[in-house]
Amino acid sequence: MSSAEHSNIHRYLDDAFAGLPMNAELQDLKEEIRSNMQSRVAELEGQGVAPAAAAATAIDELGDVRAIIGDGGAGTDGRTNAGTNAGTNGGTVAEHLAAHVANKVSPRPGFVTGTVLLSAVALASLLLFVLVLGDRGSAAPAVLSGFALAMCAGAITAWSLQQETSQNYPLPRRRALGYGAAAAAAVVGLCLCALVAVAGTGMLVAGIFVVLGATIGFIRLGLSQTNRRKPWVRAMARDYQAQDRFTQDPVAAARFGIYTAAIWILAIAVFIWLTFTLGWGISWLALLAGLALFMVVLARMLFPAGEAERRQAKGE
Amino acid sequence: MVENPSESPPQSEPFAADLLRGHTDTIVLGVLRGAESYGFEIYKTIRDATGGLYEIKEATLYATYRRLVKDGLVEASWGDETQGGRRKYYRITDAGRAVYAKNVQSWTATQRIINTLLNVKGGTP
Repeated sequence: MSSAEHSNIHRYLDDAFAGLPMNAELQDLKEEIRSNMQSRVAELEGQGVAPAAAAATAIDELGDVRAIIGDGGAGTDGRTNAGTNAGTNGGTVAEHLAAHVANKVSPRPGFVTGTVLLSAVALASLLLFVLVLGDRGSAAPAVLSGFALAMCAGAITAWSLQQETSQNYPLPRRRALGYGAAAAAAVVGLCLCALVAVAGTGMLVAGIFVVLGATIGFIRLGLSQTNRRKPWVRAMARDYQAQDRFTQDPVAAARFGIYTAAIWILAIAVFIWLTFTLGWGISWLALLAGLALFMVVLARMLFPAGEAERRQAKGE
Repeated sequence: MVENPSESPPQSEPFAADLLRGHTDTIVLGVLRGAESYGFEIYKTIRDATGGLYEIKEATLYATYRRLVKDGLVEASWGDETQGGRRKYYRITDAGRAVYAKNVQSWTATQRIINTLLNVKGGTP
């Protein structure tokens, strides 16, 4: 790699990438290297280095660019890769099994005991809450049990997310606490909604607002959530990619998403309307109908009609 | 930065460069831990942290980025700069944070052992 003959980073990069099939990945890499070299050249020129010398220095510091390209592999010999992959499919399965064993993380005893206890407390609180509501009893035990329920739900959520599992790394504490707080808020909101029978519609409105707040919290956390899958899980996903229709057929997946949203918006609207007109006894049927409809749509998505005939036609 | 490293290449660094090189992945994760960053900025941070003595080859860094992205420890995205070249930004993921924490832990333990062993042999601490 002689750098003296190159006084221009653009020409140098064009030379280095010459003769390679320019796929998206290599184009990306070239663009990235170019912008970083430009920054380095600008820095050197700011220190008073002549442009040609600055370019030569930047090229020198880059090191062996061919090694980076060769390392990429995927772009330059994609066809051979695919061939070997198909041939050694059994090998990758064994690899994944080995990775699974190597990455096995058993849950910590303290965590298991703690969550079981918390779940018991949550269940007891839920029972108490329902009993108090059914009796039209005083508000204090209802509020107390609802609060305990929310705290348990939040604690279990936050604690679980902080656990390392075989497939996932633990979430950072603050983020886990955020999820826990959102879960607790959602439970508080639902409890407030349930209090509508004893405390009037004002409580329902407050409850809906709290649930909405919790939902916004979940959306925010979800949007900013980065990957926490372990590398072996990602490798497995790569190997088994495009087996299901969601990844194979993005159009169908988008359609499915819109159907799902429409079904649930409708179901919830009908649920609220029935709650006000006919009461709790009937209104839950709206959610049940929504769930049934959703399941039908899901089944149609996963097992599209006419798939069998198409396969036969293809001779599979 | 007054000195130009290419004109005065350090003959021997006052530290073990190969040892440093072995921790490139963790070092990059450590740089990204605070904020997302792009290639040249990461390179500069590492160079400045060693007082400009250790020039990590950028080629090494590109291989590191590729590996980290493939393992899901960092995520890459193009910036929307309108002037000059677009920058590719790297952002650490939760998985990356976990790996970083684990590596720092094991390094701290290793360092303690090496310190102990070296001191036993009479080296100056």
